[in-house]
Amino acid sequence: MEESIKTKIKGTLVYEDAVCFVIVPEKQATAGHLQIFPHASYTDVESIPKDVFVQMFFVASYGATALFEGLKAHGTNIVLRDGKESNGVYDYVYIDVVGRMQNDNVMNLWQPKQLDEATQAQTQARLKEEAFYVGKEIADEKKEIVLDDDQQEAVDEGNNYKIKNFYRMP
Amino acid sequence: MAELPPDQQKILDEQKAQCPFCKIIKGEIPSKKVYEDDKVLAIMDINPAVKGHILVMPKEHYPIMPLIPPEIFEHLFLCTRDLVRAEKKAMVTPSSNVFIANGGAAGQQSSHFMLHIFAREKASELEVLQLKNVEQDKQKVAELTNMLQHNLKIMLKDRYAKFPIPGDTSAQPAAAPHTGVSTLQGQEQLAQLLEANPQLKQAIIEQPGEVKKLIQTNPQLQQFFAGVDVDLLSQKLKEQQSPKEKSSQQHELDKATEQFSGFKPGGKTEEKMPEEPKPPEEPRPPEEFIRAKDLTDKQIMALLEEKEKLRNLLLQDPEQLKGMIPSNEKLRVFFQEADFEKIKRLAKQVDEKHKSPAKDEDIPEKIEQVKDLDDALSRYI
Repeated sequence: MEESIKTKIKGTLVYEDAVCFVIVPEKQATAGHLQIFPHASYTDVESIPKDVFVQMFFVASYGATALFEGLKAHGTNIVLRDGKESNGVYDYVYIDVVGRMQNDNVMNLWQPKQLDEATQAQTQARLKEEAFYVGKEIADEKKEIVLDDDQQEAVDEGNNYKIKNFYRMP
Repeated sequence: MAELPPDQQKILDEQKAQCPFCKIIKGEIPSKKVYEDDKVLAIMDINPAVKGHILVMPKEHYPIMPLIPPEIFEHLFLCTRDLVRAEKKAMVTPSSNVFIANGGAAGQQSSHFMLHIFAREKASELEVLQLKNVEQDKQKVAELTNMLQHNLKIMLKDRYAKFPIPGDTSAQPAAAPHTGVSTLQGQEQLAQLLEANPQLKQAIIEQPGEVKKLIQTNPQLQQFFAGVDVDLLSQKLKEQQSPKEKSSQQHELDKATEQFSGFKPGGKTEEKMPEEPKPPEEPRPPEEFIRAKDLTDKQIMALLEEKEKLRNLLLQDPEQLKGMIPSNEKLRVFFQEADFEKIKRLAKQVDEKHKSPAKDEDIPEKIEQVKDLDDALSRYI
């Protein structure tokens, strides 16, 4: 079994299960700051198994509740860091859970961008196309999707019809 | 979703009726949909932080994350994982963030829970997500760490049971059968939790019956105390107490319930009561637990005349008093099968007679202490 990245993360361990662990980091943004890591090292979300991803967020949710009750925080932020450009401190995928107080200036809200309607529509179309695969198993990088029997039959029928028509052409 | 008390359910229903995202889900307000199924909706943000900024939300209205039922939570985050992948592919970016704000102080701007997905090309374009390290109070951090080490495993015991560490024999089944005392490991965990929460510990020591009744009516407490004999635990905790600790805790409890212990035979407590005004017009039964239904109107008025604070609570905040009755044995016995409205009317008569309007500052510290007990118990509801 691959060694856990636990040994490479600086902080105090406060929870651990078979798929992930929680630490109070050595360097903190607020008094209530947690980090949640999967045991295995993943550098992007795509490689994280579904159950690990879901478990990390369950743990984050309970961690946020613990901060809310224990620290009497006014709110909590949960931020998944995926990749080097995600403003994280590690190359691994992990989650920051931060207890917030009113006007603490920790993570202020962003300035919204003004994008024109055409750009938004184009972006929506691209996102919808990729979102087609949400909930479907992806067999490999070529996006060969796994069809169930009814779907496969419909595809085969369609292909047969096209071939028949091809032979009819003069 | 866990059942909420009626007043909170009412607030939630009002929120739902005005929620713009519920209207988007119903199709009453247009939106740029990216993904939709029977439980989850993903739309583009009309004020994006970055190009391709998506909002993902459960179709049912949940104001905050802890209220989402586990099956919806799981489905939501399975979809989120795939939507992150979709967004990175569509926007051709190497990185991403999922951002959640719980509470206004954290930047939550809508009462409908949602999460944000950002495709990230450069770290500099969204520096607000960068956390800056700040020197913290070491003692506070140590206390927090200690609290988390004790509490997280208990809070997450169901999730831990799904993914236990191989070879760890402490993993408990999600619902242990109620056969009596739990395993030694479970007892130790419970003892640690009680040490971290002295008010709950005190409630178990002094009022195990109340705690047991509360557990019976609350499914979350049932899970927490599954397999625990509360009476046995109470006995063990009492034995562990030092005499000094016992007397100071007894003193605190006496102060909290003194309001309703005026008929105790001997009637002495460790703290001297302030001088009570006039003696009652009619003699009171000398029982420790008085039932209002056994008293005449005059006896009730006499009691209310003495107990100015109870009278004020009846007149100023009867709902708060009603809320306290189930968890306080003396109050419960007093109001058992009694006509609450009649007692309230009698209190008004006494008040008018004394011409002393109720003031906020008259609400006693003792009632606040009883309320603290309720708060300590309700934290685990």
